[in-house]
Formats: sequence, structure tokens, C-alpha cells
Amino acid sequence: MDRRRLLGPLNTIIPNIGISSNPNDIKPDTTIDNDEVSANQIQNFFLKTGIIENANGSAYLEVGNSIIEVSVFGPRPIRGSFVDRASFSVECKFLPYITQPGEQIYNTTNQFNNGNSNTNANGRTGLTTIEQRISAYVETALLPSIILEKYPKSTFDIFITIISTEEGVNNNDEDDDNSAPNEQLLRLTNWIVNCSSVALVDASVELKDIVTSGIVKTTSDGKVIFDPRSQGNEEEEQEEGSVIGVASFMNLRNDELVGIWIERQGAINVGDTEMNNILDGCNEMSKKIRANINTYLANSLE
Amino acid sequence: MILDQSDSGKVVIPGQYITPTYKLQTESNVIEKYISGKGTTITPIQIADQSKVVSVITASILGKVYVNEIQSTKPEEETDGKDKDDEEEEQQKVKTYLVVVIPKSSSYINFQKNHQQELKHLVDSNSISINLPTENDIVLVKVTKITLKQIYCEILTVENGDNVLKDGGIGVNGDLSHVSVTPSGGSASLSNYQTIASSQSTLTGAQFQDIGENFRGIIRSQDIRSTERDKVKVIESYKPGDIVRAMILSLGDGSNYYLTTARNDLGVIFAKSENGSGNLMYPLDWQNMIDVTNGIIEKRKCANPFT
Repeated sequence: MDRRRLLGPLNTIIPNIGISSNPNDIKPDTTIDNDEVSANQIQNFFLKTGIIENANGSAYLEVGNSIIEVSVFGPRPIRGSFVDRASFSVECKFLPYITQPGEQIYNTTNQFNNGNSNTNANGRTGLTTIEQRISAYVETALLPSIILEKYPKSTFDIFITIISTEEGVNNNDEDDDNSAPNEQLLRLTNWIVNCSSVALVDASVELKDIVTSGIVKTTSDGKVIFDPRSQGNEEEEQEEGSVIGVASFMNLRNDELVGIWIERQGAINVGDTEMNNILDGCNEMSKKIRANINTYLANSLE
Repeated sequence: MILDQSDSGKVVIPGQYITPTYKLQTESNVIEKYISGKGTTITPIQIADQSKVVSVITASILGKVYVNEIQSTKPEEETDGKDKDDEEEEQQKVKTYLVVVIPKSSSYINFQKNHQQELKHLVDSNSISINLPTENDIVLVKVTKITLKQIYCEILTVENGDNVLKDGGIGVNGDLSHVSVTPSGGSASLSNYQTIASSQSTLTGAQFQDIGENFRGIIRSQDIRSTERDKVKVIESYKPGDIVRAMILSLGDGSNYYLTTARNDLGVIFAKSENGSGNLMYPLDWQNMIDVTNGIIEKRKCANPFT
């Protein structure tokens, strides 16, 4: 008998731990034949609400390899002087091990942060420049949709967690073309806005309308692209003059534009036609996403 | 997409059009007026190819829509007398309907179905959201602290409505719940909890310590009862831990709602004897409660449940 160790009862059953199914075997097939994806199709996405118990509302979204989780807290009381409407804050964080899209460009050490990549010049400690940019865009886009007057003396806080991003974002050569990281950043922001709106609905926050968002890329020859996969292998060679833009709308409220973010490779000016193409394309995509969200929400109640 | 009155109970999504604020039934010469109730808002919608803007009642939350006719027309005659005259000339009848959207899981649905007469109250409280208290709402509060001059309490739930906070005050709303993920020792914090509510739309530099645990209220000693206000003793009215039915007087200051219990049906509904260490007590009269197990009689300002 082994006297050196504390042994369990004699009739112990040892569970089969350590034996699990190979994750590679159960990985869903995400490889899509590029020929089948046309340029005006929208990437498939998976959406689920109410997964976080402690939050007032939450949403989870998977698109491609990106995974976004949003939790909404509020209305919570705020101390201090009387305010007749709710305040609203957004905070976006990447999980620590995630490569942030474009971090070589934006999160580098500079004179403002003295080598500490975890601070930025925006006064929000703990957020990187990229996180700050995403947070600011989401806040701008969602703020007009919330009926703040109905929540005096309270606050809403939205926490966005990026659990996974697209592979191949990590583009280590800074000299290389940098429109790809920009594109990834904007695509991520687009889906974050959509996911956050659904989380707000799940939290039963009173909204004027659900904000949805779209993203398009226009090439120099005037082509409008919705789905990044349709570019296929051409993605390697980013043409000079391609413009990528995210725009957010309240589609049932006269298509009100609530946010716009445009990035361009090369020349600085974005022409009128390009601008119109982007806004129209984003609006079209936003409407399609809105239709999907509507269906999901309606079904979730029945 | 615009629903008809017969579509009560249909699922609506935030932003979805429910009905225009006015409708004219040409055959019967009846004007139908719709009032935006809880869970709805009025949106100016531009009609395509026209410059005309129509006020449409839209849903503001996900839920089921209910449209109910408001029977009594008396208050209307008083409020908009001029309009009334015009209408009488044209021999038209105005029917008023209330549109409310009820969220999925709510004790509210049953209440609303069973209490048609309470609908007018809902119209009055139109401006508030689903679960935040406002003036004249009856709330249940828990007494947290008493002083000689006033009683401090936390608001648990709004009567005829839902809990103020999702957890209903059961205790998952401490400091840590204001941080989406607990700041764990040593490892990277997943949320930057120091900067809560410090954004474009709020006071700069607000930190999560500035956010309270619950909506708080104050009952001043002169608001405890309606008679002999100067003789009232706080200690003989409420004690910490009591559950009190109270009415909101005003939204108060930044930290507290002001509450009153100066009515027969307001006051203590649940209390335990011996500062909470004893048993649940039952009211003897409006200012005494008895612990039937050990016979202790304590002073409280009790709510009369039968008014």
C-alpha cells in the first residue's frame, strides 16, 4: 500500500480526462470556393443574443474568423449631480493574445506614449489607439439611436470583446502595402456596430431604431465589392486608388446616416462618385443585414 | 408593415412602424387617435418621393404590441376644448387608442390584461422607460440606513412594472458587477474598468466608483405620514432591512429619488423583529407589528393593504 500519498476511497472511479475529440476534426468547413462568391454578396454571419447572464443584454457574432462578443450594462444609477438623460460609454478590447488589425501602424511607440503601447494620446488609459478608434466610432454610431431622455440619472456601458480576428492580419513588413490592415480594421468595426446594436435590443434599451452598418470597397475601375472573399487571390496585389468605407444607418428612420469611416490607399481625395458609390453600397448592405437581424429578433421572441 | 388595430400581440422590433398617430376612417367618419405608450416612440417618417412627413408610432423595444381603446373621454374634453369645438362642428367622433409594447418576459402583460381600468395610468406615465421609476410611481424599497431626519433606501421594483435592475437587488450588483470581467490579479484585465462612463456624452473623468449599486431614495421624516408630522420619530417608523411600499415624489438630486409614505396604503409591508434577527412580523394596526413566535410588538408605520 502506498503510504506516502493520500489515497482516495478504494472504490474510486477515475474519470476519463484528457481524452477529447480532436478539435481539428470538428472544425467547421470555412473554406469557400472563391468562384462561388460573387462581389455583391454579403458574408454569412452567426448571431446569438443573451449569452451573458450578468449583463442586461448581450450578443455574440461570428463572421469569417472574427468573433465578437458585446455586453450591455444599464441603466445603472450614476452618482453626483443631477443629469436628466442617460450617459453612454463604449469600450472595445481585444483579448490580450489577439493581433490587432493594423497594430504595426497605429499602436507603435511614439513620443506620446513613451514606449508604452498600452496608452495613447486620447486620454483613455488602457485602450490602444486601435481600440480607442473602434470605441469612438461605435459610440458615435449608436448614440443617436438610444432614447437617452427616458433614462435620467443613469448610465449605459457597452463592453466589446474581440475574441478572434481574421487570420493573416499580422503583416509584419511595415514597408509593405498597408491597406490590408485598414480593410481588416474597418470590416471588424462594421460587424462590431451590428453586434452592439443587437446587444442593445437584447438589453431592452429603448431605441429609436436599430443601427446597422455596411462596408464596401471600390476599386480604381469603379467596381463595388461587398465580400472580401470574392477578391480571392487578387488580395495580395492591392491596387492603388481603392477606397474602403464603413457607414452606419438607421434604415427604418429615413435611412439616417449615423456614422461614416473611410480609408483610402494612395491619393488623398475621395471623389463625389466614389463617395456616392460607397454610401449607396453601405446602405444596401446595411439593409440586408438589418433584414437578417429583424428575422432573428422576431424569431427569438416566438 | 404598419399594423392594424386587430394585430395586437404581434411581435415588433425596435424601429418598426406600428401605426400613424392619426387615422381617418372615411366610411364611419371617425378619427382614430393613437397615443404612444410604453415601449414606443413617435418617429417623423418621410414619405418617399414627397416632402411630406408623417408622425408614426414605432416600437422602441423588442416585444409584443397591444392596442387598446381608451374608453373614458372626459379628460380629453377638459384638456383640448378648442379642438373639441371644431370636431363637434364637423360631427366627427374621436376614438383614442393606447399603443404599448410589452417585452417578452414581463409580469406586466398579465397585469395589463387584467386591469383595463389602469390603462389611463399608463398613458400618464408615458415619458418613462420600461423599468425606471418616475414621479407618482409606487415602488418597493429596502431601507438601508436611518438618521433622525430621513430614511435612506434602495429601490427594488416599480409596482405594475418590472424590477428596476435585472437582478432585483439580490446582490450580484456590487462593485465588481460594474466591471464586466473581474480585474484578476496579475493577468491582463479584459476591460478597462476605470473609464466607465467617461466618454463624449457624460461628465469627464467619471469612474466606476461614481456609479451606484442601485437606484437610491430618501424618505424625509415629514413625508413618513400625513398627520402629526412634527411628532413623527424615524426610529418608530422604519428600521434598516424593512421592505417599504412608497411613492416617488420627485426624481430628486443626482443621487437620490425623494419618496413619501404619507398615505394609508403606503408604509412597511415586510419587516423582521429585533433589527432583522427575529421573525417576520404581522401588522396589528397602522403603527404596530407583532412577531407571533415570541410576542414582540414593534413600532412601524404599516401599509394598509385594504385601501
